[in-house]
Amino acid sequence: MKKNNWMLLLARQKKGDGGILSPKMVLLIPDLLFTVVVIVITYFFVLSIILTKTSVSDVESTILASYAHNSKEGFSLLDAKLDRVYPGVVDPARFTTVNLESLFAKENPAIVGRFVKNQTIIDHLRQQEAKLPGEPVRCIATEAGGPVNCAYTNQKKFERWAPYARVGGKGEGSVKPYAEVRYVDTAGGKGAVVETVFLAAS
Amino acid sequence: MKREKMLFKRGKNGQFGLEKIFSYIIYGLAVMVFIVLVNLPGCILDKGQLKAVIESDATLKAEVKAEAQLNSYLRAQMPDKALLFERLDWLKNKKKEGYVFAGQFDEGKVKRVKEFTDGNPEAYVGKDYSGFISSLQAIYAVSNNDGKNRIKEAFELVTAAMFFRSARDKTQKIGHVLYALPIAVDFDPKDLKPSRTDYSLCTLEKDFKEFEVCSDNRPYELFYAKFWQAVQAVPLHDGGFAKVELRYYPEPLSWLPKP
Repeated sequence: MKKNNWMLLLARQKKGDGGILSPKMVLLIPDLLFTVVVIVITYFFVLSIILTKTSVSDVESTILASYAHNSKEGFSLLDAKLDRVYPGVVDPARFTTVNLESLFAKENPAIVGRFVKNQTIIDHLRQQEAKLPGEPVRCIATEAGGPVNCAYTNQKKFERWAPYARVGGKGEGSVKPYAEVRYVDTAGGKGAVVETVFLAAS
Repeated sequence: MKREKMLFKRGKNGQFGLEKIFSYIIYGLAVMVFIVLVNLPGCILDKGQLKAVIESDATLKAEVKAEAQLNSYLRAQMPDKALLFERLDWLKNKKKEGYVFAGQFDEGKVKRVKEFTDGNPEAYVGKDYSGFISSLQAIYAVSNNDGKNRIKEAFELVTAAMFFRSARDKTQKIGHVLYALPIAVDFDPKDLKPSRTDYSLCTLEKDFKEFEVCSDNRPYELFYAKFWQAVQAVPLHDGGFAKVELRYYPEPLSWLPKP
């Protein structure tokens, strides 16, 4: 008489002689846990020895800001006859996005920046007593439609990245701002404050 | 029977050969750890040294900013008398109205500074800040104690009126805290080394006589903050040089402009 296969299977399971739920499979669970523990320990072991933080965007933003201030093609006052640049003295006529984009196109850095030239705070407050300064972006054109007081190294990219930087995300794909404030003189004798923000994608 | 044996044939290495696979994984991990230990360069080195080499260091950028800022200050054109007096009056009036900002701008002091600048236009008219310092030294050298005090006050207030910067602070009436970076001048320096860092610049000026004039308008948030020093020499009329020291305090993140 032929026995059904399933009856045979059951009989073999009772014997412990193989089948789907072999005891060895159950014993593999601690093996798997051990493997995971070993992997985790190795991970923390390697982390504890090596600390590599290779983000140099902070230093890069400082250097690029100085590049714009000190370069002959930047926005500092240039004496064409002597071929001499006066860092620390800004020429408003050269403080333009066109000029900066042309300058930074040669270097083509991965980070992008915006320079905003404003009056000194005392002059600003004196002249605008009723208004409180401090809006996040103060890029304004003169009444005559003349030069604005903002200059970008790459305007399209900056405006695309700025919302992500304002959100302040972390991790891969986030954009971090690196800012500085510097007092400068202007051709014409009045002081100004240049606020610089560079954006770097991580 | 033969068919049943074929159906339920067990693998030689356990079910699906998983035992062998896990053995290989653990062996691989052991080999990897060994390779890491052998190949890590200087794995016993000081972590701080390793970090400084690989990670960008805050010192470099702060030093660059301090030097750049002092350069800008020394090249700044002095304001004319009208603008200077307008700024001084504005600061005095705001102080009267109860606005809080760093520095002393009481009426008496502002009046004395105005008298000094009115009586010594050659000190600042048509000059930059380094020329102003040089001119002050020439007057300081021939002044009595009272005159020297006037020069100290003039330096302090004129520097503040020129270089005041702001930080957003909604708790303040004007929405900003106004402050200026500390700057001091030694008219007769022995060297161009930065000053000791355990005292403020104006304490060094008063108590230790290291500087002749000083301007320090820091807000309380920066009193104990870390700073970097920038030093430059300014030529004087008598052929010597003055030492100008600026202490650059990196702004807190909340004070910096947003994108």
